[in-house]
Amino acid sequence: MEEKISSYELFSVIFLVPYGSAVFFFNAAEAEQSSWLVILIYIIPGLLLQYIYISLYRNYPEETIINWMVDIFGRLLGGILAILYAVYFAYIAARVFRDFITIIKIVAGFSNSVIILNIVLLGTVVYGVSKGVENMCRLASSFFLILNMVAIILLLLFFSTPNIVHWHNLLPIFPKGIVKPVLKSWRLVTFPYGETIIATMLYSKVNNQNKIKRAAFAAIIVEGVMLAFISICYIIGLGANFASKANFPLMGTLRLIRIAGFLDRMDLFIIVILTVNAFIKIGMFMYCAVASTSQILGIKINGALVFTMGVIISVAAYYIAENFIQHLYIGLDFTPKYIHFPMQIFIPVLALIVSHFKKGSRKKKLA
Amino acid sequence: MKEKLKKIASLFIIIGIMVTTTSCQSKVDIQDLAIVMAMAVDYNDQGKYRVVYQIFTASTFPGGSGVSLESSSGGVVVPTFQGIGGTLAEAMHDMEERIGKKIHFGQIKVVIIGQKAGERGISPIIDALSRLPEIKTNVPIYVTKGEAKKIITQKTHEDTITANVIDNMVLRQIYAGMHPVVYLAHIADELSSKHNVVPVLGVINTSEKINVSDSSIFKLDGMAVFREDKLIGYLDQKITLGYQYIKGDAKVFTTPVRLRDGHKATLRLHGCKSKIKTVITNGKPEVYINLDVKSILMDITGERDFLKNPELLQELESLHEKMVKDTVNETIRAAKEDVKIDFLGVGDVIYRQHPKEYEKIKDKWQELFLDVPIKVTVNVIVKDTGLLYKPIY
Amino acid sequence: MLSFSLIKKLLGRGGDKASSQKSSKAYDEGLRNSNENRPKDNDNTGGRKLTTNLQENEAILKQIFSNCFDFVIRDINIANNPAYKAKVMYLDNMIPQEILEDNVINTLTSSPAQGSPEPSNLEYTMSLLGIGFDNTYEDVNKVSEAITEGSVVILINGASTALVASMMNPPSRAIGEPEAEKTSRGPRESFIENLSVNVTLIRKKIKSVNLKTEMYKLGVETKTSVVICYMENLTDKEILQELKRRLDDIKIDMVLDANYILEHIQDQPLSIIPTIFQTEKPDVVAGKLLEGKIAVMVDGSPIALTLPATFSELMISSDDYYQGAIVVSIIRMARYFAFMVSLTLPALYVSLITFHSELLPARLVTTVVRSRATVPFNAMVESILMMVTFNILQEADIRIPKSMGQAVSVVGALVLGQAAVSAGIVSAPMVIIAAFAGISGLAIPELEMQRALIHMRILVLIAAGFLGLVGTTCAVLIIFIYLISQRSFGVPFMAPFCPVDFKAMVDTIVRAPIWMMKHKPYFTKWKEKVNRQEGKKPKGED
Repeated sequence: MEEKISSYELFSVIFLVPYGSAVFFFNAAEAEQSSWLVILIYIIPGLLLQYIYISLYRNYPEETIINWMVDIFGRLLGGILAILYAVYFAYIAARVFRDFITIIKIVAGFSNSVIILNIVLLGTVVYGVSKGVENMCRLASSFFLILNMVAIILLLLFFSTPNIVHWHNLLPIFPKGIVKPVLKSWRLVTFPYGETIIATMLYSKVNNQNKIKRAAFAAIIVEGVMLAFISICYIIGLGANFASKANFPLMGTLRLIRIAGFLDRMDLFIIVILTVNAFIKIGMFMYCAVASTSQILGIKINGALVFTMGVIISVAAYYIAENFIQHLYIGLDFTPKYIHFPMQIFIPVLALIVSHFKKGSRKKKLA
Repeated sequence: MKEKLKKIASLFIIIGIMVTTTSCQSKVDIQDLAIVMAMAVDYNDQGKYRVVYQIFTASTFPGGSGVSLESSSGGVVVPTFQGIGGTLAEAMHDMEERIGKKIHFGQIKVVIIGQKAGERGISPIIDALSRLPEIKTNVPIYVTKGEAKKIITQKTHEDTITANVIDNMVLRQIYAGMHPVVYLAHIADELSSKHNVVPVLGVINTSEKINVSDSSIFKLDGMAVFREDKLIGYLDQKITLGYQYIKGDAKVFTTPVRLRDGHKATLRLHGCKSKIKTVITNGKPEVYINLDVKSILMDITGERDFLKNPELLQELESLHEKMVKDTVNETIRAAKEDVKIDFLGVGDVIYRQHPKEYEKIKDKWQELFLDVPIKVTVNVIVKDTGLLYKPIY
Repeated sequence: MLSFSLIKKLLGRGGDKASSQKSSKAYDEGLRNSNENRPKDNDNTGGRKLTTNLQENEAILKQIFSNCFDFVIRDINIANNPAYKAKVMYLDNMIPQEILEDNVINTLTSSPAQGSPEPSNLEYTMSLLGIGFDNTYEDVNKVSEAITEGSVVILINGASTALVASMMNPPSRAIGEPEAEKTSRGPRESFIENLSVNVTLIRKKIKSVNLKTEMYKLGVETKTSVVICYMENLTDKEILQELKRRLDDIKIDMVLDANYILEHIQDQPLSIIPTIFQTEKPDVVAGKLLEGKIAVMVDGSPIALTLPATFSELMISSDDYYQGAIVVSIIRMARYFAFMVSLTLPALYVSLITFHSELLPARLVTTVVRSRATVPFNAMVESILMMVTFNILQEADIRIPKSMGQAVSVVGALVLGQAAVSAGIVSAPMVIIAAFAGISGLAIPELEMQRALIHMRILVLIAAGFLGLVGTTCAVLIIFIYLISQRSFGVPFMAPFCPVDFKAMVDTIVRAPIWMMKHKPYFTKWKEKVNRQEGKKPKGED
């Protein structure tokens, strides 16, 4: 059964997957009160990354990244790379799973019974993925609209609460010059912008192939703008110092809202949005892992495969780090340098160069 | 048939796992929680932190406080509990076993820090509070003269929960602007800033009853200034007013003025915008504070007809300007001479406007500040005169 | 214990082929056995033909219809001539006596007019009654079928063909108001059990030659007539083909109601929410036909089915088209809001109280703590108790005889609730929440949706009781994914919300004024694979 998604659904998925975790953290914390500018600046590398992926796709239409590897690098090397990518997707899924379980534990206050949380979240994701990527993308596209509406309401409430908005927290902009903070925040390329690598598995499914570029680029731009705006809210509400120390600045900021004495805790929205974001993000990465596995092994995607992958991912999530701090350290230091950078940037660029040469040599042969 | 049995059995196993390992067992229903409404932190002579909570919890005695809905439904009680510990966090959880219920910080309305605890340093307090996952970042923090315990255990005539009374006062202040209302998020930000922002907290005291006809219990009484994180001094109401003017937070309060012909008038502030400009010449900063004030006329006596002679309003305005200027200058003087610390936030403004120069003078700022010239200009506009345009008499 | 194939089954996909085949085989065996053990009936007389002898024919038919007291045989003389004997056979009460007497018996037995053919000819009778050659049968099976369907059969001495005149008028009730779809403005006719009347009601609304009505007969014993109505110029050919294919696949003993057909032709045989729309009103059916949908009507059932159906149809009441656009839009939005409220309110309340009490506004905390001080249960159990009580009250309300009607429901609810709160068994806010959730559910127009909502509500509540807000969200997500993955004859069920299509949303949450709505068949755009997957056919068919 061929599943098709529309370009609008591609747009919402590319937007929601990185946005899902990025919104909770204070991104580009090294730049302190200018972090929003840095996020905007890094839209450009994000667009570049998408451009690379789409160019690769144009050379091999109707295929996903697994097939590109095999086509470009040959069966042996390409096969190894394809397996690497499948494992990579599963690894990210496990990381994200661990991330969200921890966040939910802290935000929603579960001290024991993490097993139940694991089972329920995993069960929901497995159920969603087993119903097909079409339906997941549809859910994502509807959720995009709802998310926007909620965001607008929350913003209105935030700005109408007296005594919490301090615009002067945004000054000074780039006190020590612009180059250093921008360079220090290079991790932004891998998170959040780099996570759009899942799009490589989805390009072949879009029913309107001409609109892929537009949808992907629009998604990156909108994502950058929204994340920058969220950063601004953190800075003016909490102050850049407190925001960079807090684990969950989103929570801190939304807890400042107090209108008419009763519209007090907006945590409700946070927890709901958190769970849905978790669902979409883990679901998409799990889908990519499942789809890559099914392409490599040549079996059709069915419920058993999804369930197995789910079990693998949850077990892996348990073992990848001992505690939250170690997890954060691995995630901020080790993973971007040695895992994200090669897989998201290095290998695709290499693939693009090699494929150009291949095409060039093919043309010469024809001529 | 066998498969059906397998399906049903697995379903039961899943439910069994859920029921036995579920958080149902560790999660407590709301009526079994001890909800902390207000917290008072003191430091006693034995060198230990003493924390007093005002707790709100259910009781099965009917009609515990206020009116109960049904004859046999329960009521609530508002006891206080005290805990002692070497560190703040230890003190905060010391009384858990004595309360017998799970302590819940989610509804806390105010945190009051006593004098000794403030002098010892408020950073452990703010740190401990900020780490609690359920804390509201907009909890107002106050300091008091003497022991904080007195504030919490004070009985009020309008509500058994003292925290509610204080909360109402604080809410009023946000709209009145006479005292600074500092949230947990703000003080945490100020403490963790590296640019010498001086933390400032409001002060709340029990009010001395003037006589029987005055039912006031609490008084918001100026502000407290900290160096690094240690309390160094209290400033009274007038100086606090000046501080609020400078911050632009002054919203609504009254100022009497004496008119030229001996009559008195009262003007009520209705909003203040403050712009601080800093200019650095030869490494020396100069500060210009400009205040735009709107006010309305509350009462006046004497012969005046504002409709015929609008310029009579000018007289009121200039008098008001003078009063405001005096207040602000008094505050600046107090900052330079009494407490010798820049709690006005001037350094912060210089940092934001001239970050490069501020880097050079950052370390010596507190001494430099004592000599920095600060010029205050005030511009008052009397917006309206109430319902009358002429004085009654 | 949880074997691999079991897991596959739980996920509903790709079950172990061998085992499923085995089970269906067993079922088929059983069916065949029961078929063979049934007493032999008329169908075994297949192929028998009438003879020219009147007495023999009469004996054959008498034997077929033995032990039927309402089988009537009348002897007449055609053209009043004792040489031409004939017998008229029919089932009493299916035929209006007056018409029989006047139009058949009298015409046949009166003296021939001038210029008419010889009474000895078959053509004489045929021309008198206006019966064409299509309605003459030689096969005994067909003749007995005709009699059971309510026709009058005329056997003439010397002719081996029987003449069939159809004039049935079985007793049925008058057209009344719809029971489940009350409207305040707009037509109030509703379908009755008589198929021809129902089709006529539709023809009254759509007087167009494009309206096609095709008839099927389904059900081995009941031989129920099923009619498909569609507008030829508007409907989608692929869906029509698929529908006909599925109807042909139905092999079943009895078809007593539209639901019997519905469960056979659905895309997802076991879904909670039916993906085929049911209605009692001809104006609703006419509206849907003009949108390109197909209607299926079953004899003996006052419910018409329309397909393909989408979720938004379940939230629309026919009344919406008979009132102003803006008012109706607001009411519709309120309905969607009521849907969400009814689904999640008890769960939200339980999770806020148990897990996230810091999210309650401060004054509410006071009220809640005070009211729950003496309650012995924890929040989840208490709310399940209240919801179950409410549902039982609802069910009981349907079956109460009219004499007791109003008092029991209102008084019962009030008194029960009040007494329970006074006794300290439940808390007052919980009663309010449960009642409000229940009543919001009733604001939804479609009955199936209300029933499904009750179950979904309990699922979400249990999830909330175990995991708080996270559990609620996960349960709601599961429900949404489930709804999104439903297909109605290839059309995604949650269109136009899910493949987001703004143009088609004019008639969902808001209702555009009538002059702005173009009744195009939008669903053809969203249609995907129309053919049902192999694994999803209802099991147990031959």
